[in-house]
Amino acid sequence: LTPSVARYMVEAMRAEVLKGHVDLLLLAVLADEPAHGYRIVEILRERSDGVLDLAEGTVYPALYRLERQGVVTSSWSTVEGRRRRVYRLTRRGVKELAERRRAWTDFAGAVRAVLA
Amino acid sequence: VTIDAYLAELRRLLPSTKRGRFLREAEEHLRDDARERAQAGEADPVAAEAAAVETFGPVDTVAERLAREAAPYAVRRASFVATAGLAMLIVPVYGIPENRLPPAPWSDRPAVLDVLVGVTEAAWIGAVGLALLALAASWARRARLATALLVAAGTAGAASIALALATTVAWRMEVPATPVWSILALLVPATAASLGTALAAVAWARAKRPLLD
Repeated sequence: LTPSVARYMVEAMRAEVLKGHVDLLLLAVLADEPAHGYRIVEILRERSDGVLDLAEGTVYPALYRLERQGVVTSSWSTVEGRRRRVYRLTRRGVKELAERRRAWTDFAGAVRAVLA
Repeated sequence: VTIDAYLAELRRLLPSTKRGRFLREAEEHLRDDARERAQAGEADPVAAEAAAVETFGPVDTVAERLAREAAPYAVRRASFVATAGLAMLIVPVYGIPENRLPPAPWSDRPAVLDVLVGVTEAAWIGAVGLALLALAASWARRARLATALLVAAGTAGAASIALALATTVAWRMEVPATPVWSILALLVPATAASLGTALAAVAWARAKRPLLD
């Protein structure tokens, strides 16, 4: 593999992995504080040192999906003088996050064990 | 690309049911991002807007993701409407013939009429049954299966109407006094209302198929 192809493959793999775990990441962000879409993206970027840098517009469809599943709720609020749609976890969302976190930890542990 | 141009393109591509709320959120998001970039001295206001738009994502990708997200719920709504429409077919398939066809002047009804009446009702029952299965599949998040079942339900519903018409014609041949025109006058509007609604819902669900995972 040439370095550019390898870099492309790593980027593509990262994008796929990120896509598959967007729901878990969003739930984890909202577990700490209710937030609007832009703030959620900022927190994701900050916490991951810029590694989790998704196409920001795709966060909203994921938030709507979580809202339909009843794990997230949202309402319009005024934040810093501006109208924002603020998202927060529901009680069901807290449970869902705990389950998904456990599943992810098990999976990551298994992958780590294989790679070691 | 400016924020206004990006939003205009999004408005054009988005499904109407999601447009209002998402466009408001997208605009807030983009203007926040552009403002922060400009304030941080990263770029002049025009370049900041372009950068904000770029990180928000390609407009067609964002619109498609939103449409994909909404599609299974559209199929669920279509299943409700189609089931209701097909259930109402009882009026043209059973109610109108039952009340308008004259009594048969024979001791033993010809087998052809027995068969036609039985098959018509079976087709209608099949249509409603398939629609109910589609409804259940859509609730179980099996939107693709729901769409296939809806298409089958619509076909069975249309077949039941064709058979109801054939029954009326066959009845006329056996009983010349059968008031075919008055039956048709009732059958056509009743069919247009119920079957039309059901088939429109089926077509709506089918149109969502490319968006279903």
